[in-house]
Amino acid sequence: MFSLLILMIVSVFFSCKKMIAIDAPINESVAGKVFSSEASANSALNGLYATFLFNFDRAYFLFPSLSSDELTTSLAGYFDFNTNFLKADNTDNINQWNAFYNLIYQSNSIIEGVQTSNSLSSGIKDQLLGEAKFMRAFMHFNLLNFYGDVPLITTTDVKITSIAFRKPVDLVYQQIIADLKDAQSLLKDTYASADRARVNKSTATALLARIYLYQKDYINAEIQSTDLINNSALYQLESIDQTFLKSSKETIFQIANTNGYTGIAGELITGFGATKANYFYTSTFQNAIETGDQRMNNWMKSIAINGVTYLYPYKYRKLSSTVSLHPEYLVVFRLAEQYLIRAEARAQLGTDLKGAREDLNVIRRRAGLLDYQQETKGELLDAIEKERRIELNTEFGHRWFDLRRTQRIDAVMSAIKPNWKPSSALYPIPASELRNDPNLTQNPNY
Amino acid sequence: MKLNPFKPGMPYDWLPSKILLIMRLVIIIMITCFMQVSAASFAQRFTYGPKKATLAQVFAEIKKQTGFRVLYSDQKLDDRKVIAVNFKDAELLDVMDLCLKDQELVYELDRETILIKAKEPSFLDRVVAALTYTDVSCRVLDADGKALPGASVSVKGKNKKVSTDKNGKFVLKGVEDKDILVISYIGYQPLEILVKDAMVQESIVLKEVIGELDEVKLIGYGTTTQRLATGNTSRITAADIEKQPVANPLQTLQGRMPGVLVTNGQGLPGTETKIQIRGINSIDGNRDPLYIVDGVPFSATALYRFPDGIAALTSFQHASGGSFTPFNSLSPSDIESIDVLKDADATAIYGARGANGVILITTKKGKSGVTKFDFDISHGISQASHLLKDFLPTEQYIALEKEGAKNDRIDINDIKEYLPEIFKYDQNQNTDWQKVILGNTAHLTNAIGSISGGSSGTTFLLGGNYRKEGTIYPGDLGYTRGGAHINLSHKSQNNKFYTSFSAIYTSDKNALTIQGLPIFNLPNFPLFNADGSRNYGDGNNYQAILEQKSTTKTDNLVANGQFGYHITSDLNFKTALGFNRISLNGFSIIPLSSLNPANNPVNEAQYANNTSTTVNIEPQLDYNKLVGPGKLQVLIGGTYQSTTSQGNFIHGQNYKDENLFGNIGAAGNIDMQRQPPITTYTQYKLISAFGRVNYNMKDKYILNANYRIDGSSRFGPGKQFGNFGTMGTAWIFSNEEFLKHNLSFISYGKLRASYGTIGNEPASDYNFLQSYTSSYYGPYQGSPGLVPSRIGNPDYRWEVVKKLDIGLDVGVLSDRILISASWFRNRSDNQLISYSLPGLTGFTGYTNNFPAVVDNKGLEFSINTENMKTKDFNWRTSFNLSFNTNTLVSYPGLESSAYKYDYEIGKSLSIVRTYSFAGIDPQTGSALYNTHSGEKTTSVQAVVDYFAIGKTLPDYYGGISNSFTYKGLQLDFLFSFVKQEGYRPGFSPGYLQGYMPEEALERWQKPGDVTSVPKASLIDYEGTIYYGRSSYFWGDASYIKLKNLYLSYRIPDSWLKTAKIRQVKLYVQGQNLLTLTNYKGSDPELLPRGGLMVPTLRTLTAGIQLTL
Repeated sequence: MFSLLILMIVSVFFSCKKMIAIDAPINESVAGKVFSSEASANSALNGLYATFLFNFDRAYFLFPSLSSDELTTSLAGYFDFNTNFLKADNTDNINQWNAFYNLIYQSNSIIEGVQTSNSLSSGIKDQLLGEAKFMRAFMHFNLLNFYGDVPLITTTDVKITSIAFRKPVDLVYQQIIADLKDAQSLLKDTYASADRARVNKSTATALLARIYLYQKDYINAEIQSTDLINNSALYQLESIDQTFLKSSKETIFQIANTNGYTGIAGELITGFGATKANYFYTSTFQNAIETGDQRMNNWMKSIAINGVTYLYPYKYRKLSSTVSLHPEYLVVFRLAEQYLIRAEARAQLGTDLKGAREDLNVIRRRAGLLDYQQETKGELLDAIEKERRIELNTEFGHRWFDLRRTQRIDAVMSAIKPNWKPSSALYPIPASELRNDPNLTQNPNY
Repeated sequence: MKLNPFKPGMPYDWLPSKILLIMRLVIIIMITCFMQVSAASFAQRFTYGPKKATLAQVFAEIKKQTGFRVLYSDQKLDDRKVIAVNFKDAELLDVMDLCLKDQELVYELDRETILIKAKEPSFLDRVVAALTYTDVSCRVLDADGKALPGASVSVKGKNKKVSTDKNGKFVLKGVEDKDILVISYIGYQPLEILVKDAMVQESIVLKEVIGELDEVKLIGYGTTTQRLATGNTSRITAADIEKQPVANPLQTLQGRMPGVLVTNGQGLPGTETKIQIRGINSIDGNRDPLYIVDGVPFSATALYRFPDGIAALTSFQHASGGSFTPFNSLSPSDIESIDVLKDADATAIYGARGANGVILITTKKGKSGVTKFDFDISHGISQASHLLKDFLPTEQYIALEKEGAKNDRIDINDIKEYLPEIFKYDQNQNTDWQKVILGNTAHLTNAIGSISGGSSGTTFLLGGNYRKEGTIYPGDLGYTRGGAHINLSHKSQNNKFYTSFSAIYTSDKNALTIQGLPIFNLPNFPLFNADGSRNYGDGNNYQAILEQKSTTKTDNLVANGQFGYHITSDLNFKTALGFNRISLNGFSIIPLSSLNPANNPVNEAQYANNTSTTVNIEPQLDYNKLVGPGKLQVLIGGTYQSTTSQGNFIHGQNYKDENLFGNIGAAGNIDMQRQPPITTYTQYKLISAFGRVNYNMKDKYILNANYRIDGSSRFGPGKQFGNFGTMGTAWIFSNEEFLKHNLSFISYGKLRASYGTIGNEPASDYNFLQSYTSSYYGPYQGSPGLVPSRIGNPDYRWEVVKKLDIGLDVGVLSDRILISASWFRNRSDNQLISYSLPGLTGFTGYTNNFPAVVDNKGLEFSINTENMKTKDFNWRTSFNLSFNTNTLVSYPGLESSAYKYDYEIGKSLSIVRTYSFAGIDPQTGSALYNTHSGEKTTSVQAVVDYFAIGKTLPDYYGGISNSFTYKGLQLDFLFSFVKQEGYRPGFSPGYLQGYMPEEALERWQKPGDVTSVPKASLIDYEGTIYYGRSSYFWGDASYIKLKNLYLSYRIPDSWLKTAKIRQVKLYVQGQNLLTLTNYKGSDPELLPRGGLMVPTLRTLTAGIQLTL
């Protein structure tokens, strides 16, 4: 009996390697497996889009709009953005930064997974690589415009990334452009899923056009935007009341919504019985709207509360409880911007001022406004800036980024924000990042 | 102003001096005890000499010291005889023996006299004696029927003494029938028996003494006594557990054990009580001790927290959720004892899991004898123990905001939206929201019943308990718990086979709000608008929040079985089987009526189902044998543990009918975007082999060695196994002959030391695995999404803690004073932590070894005294005090690591770094801060300009308890104290809708003002960020609490005889009745939990305890 027991204990011990073998978690899929089949590799990409959809409605609508001269809020929680009193330990800013980089991690993870996969076909490999590279580029683009010099992350290796330095803007742009050119060559003009809800070749072109414009490479900006404008088989301007519908032909890339409102529309729309509007356009913005502008009737809405009239964004307004019937998706890139990019590029080049004016007027005509008549470069550029301000308001930080890239930000902002400092044009690097990556430095005055 | 209880009329000059004062009081009490002790019952002890003295002198001295008169006849005794005396605390009997040595005399002890008589009996006596003289022989056994070798058997009043042999047998020749045998054995109560009775008995059974030193203590896979232990352990038993009206058994440890720091969760039912044994070894890794309930590992981590449940503290919010602890589903009434194992020697047998100490919880068992029925029912009330003081009333609040706007050069008419308190709400209204929300009284009811009994072979216990507890929040919230407990044990008639089974089943329900209620609300905030509709404000209407309920139901089954077989009398095999299953059911609702219609709300409900199952199998073999001059104990065994947890969470929206919130099918849609359905799953397996060798030589020299091999599934391939071992030794010097004779007042003395290595594993599973999981944000376009789960790190390895412990235990005056002191050092290396990463890596942390050496050192004292012991009155005191420091000894590459700004070599791991306040600029009224370049500036940089301003770990902590019994009356009280520093809630005067204490009125107002409070500002965000978190708000947060008070009265038995009731006890219990502190925040006890929360509760209950 005794020896039997000893034997038992001993044998248990020697078989223990097996005994502590645990099952892979049923709610997870081991990384190597994900890129062994087309379906699960596609799921990894879907995860990327789902994260995108979830994370950025504030970064793309609210924060830059509140920081610039577009919106005002009555919610104390966003006061710091609105008054440009942003601090390095602001949680919203930390979350936004982390979300950008989390998407970059996901993109890199897909790029690495696809590149090392032996079982995926080259067709699917190109598709996934192209989309992931676009996303990596797009996130870096946003980071640059919010924070200035930022770490450039092209690997998932934490030993490298955890001690990253901030890289000069130009260097990051080089990588962004390289990624986008790769995406252009890897992707097709067709969309990988319905409703233009995944990135295609044109999406890479659209971002490339924007980046060349930001980089003052007007020749290339004109080439890329022309490429899209000429592709009328796929892209056409819609009438003003159709622009943000899911079926809009103006859309180059949109993010599929699931249910509820698209983006933060639910918060922007002031509901029945409200005692104040949560967010509303600033008076300078309202003053900039020309009379007769159809965009005011279609993309904005006013409400009178206690004798005060508030005007608030109303581009997205449809509430839906099912995915398939959702009438609106979140538009990320649309053709109207490309007209304005080309107008500005042409005006800056000065070689085709007429063409520049015509591009501008395409947008004005759609808004029910009279054609713009002036033709000098300076006047045209002013008019284009104004047009961008109204047309692209509360979309993806356009106004905030425009003011920065044209270096007009101090002039515009100091007139309306008493506490404005030139350093407020950049958001602070989150304090927690400085703490955890000793190689990072802070932006001035934070 | 608080008054100083020690210097009436004086304000506190606070703690160091106060704690010193208390310590002084303690010392005075203790000295008094010593004196009491020597006067009261040690009168028979005799000290005299060394010198030569006549017998008369000796007898006179005896009279003087002991009160005994020595009577004798001059003719028989020559009292001028000179003898050499050298008595120190000698027994009177020994003294008399010496005096009458070699004389034909005997003596008799009466109450107060010693009568000396001639030894020579009369002839008749001799004849009678010859006829009555007899031999007696018998066996001496313990309660379990085991022989007690070496027990002493003496004849009362006669100089006859023998010892039992190895079978417990003794033979005494030439005794009389009416002689009384005195049988004694260390650790057992001495027994007196008439010779004629002993002759007819098969055996004499000695009962164990319940003296503290010889009480059975649990250690890993076995038992020992404090007398013989080589490791460092502390224990609390049912007697002390039952005195405390708390729901969570861990709370009963507070203030009672050295080296065990217990911090309560906030004053809401179900919140987590944290235990830290001997400080922190790890910066943020697995800090929880290992909990074992009846041999089954019990998970300390909450199963599930509703994502909304942990409300961040904003200027409006008062966090409520926090995590719910599974310990709440263990009723303190089911618990017989809690043993806390602290040093390497005690914990090593648990290997990896014991790195942060081990807590052994033992449930109640039946006892053989008459069947007993016990009932206990109590009812009581609770209130917040401590509230924030002095909120500004409306008028001053608004005046400050207006002054702030003026300083900011803002026209308040431009920002009407922000200032409803000025432009919309009634200026004459004034509500103290803290009182509304935290000023209520909660009721609690507790009922316990049990039946227990059994015969010598089989014992049983059946018990049930019920508890209902309200909250101090307004509204209908609260906690209900019901449980059942069954215990059976049986041994075969030949005592060879034994088995036991116990099961505890508890079910509880906790109804709370999803988020915290706002105590920092505008003083004139109206709950309703003028038209009678609800005023939602910015989500700061507490009545709306109360409608958002979260209900958590937990079912907990702890079952264990033991099967044992005594293979031979030396060799014993047993297997312990344990099973624990906790399932949690969460349900929370957000009805439309609780949401501001202006925000286009949808109603929501959330469902959570989570179960965790643990199976534990531990075969063991132990061997006990007398080997050479001592006792050898050998234990070998193995552990197999498997824990699987799984959960499902679903979030529904758009319910047409809110009566059907409970039915997911009634939801308009499942939220696929913000909180998509999610499944959680983890599996954990542990396999170990362990062994222990203990050798005890003559109860003087004890050597103990442990070894354990652990394999854990929480490590990557090739890194799963770790080897750990310890050596412990004890020297019971009081058993040395030279001490017995020279320092006989020392009844017990032991020196012990242990050293060993203990491992630590990561706190959670799968951290080595690189994998993808279902997207947290739902599918995309109807197709499933996958996202990376974590940064998997296959390279991390076992964390090793090297523990050194040296201790001294001393018992004085027959152990009526027990003093214990320990010094320890835990040195940890390669700690496993969730290593902070910058978010730019994609994640904010991953599991990795932390290449730092951390020293965790401390000193612990405890003193237990029995100050008075008479027939009717008994007074006992316990005092414990613990000091703990920890130091970052080295950290290669700290300067270039993620922890550069967090830690400093040579300083504590718990240092707090923040803005260093440098006063208010008298010219501008702005707050100034120090920078590292030596400047004082208004605008400092976060992180870079932080200074270490203090540490969160307490300097020292402890408790003192006193217990008095007088006939049927019992009074116990326990004070606990902590010397620590901490933050109080910061404020910035005039800041929009912020916390505004009266202190804000001391603000700077005009150039030249000298103050510590900056100028008012309506929008000075920097003020709340810098000033509100600066060193200005850091300071002393020490406290003394009257933690527990217990008063009971036992109705005299004579009254109960006719009612056939065995015992009736009436009692009053109090918890947290009094707090002495100078801390300006809320409850200083909650500091380590993040400061501002619902304070701990002051509870008073009354009850009746009945035994039939």
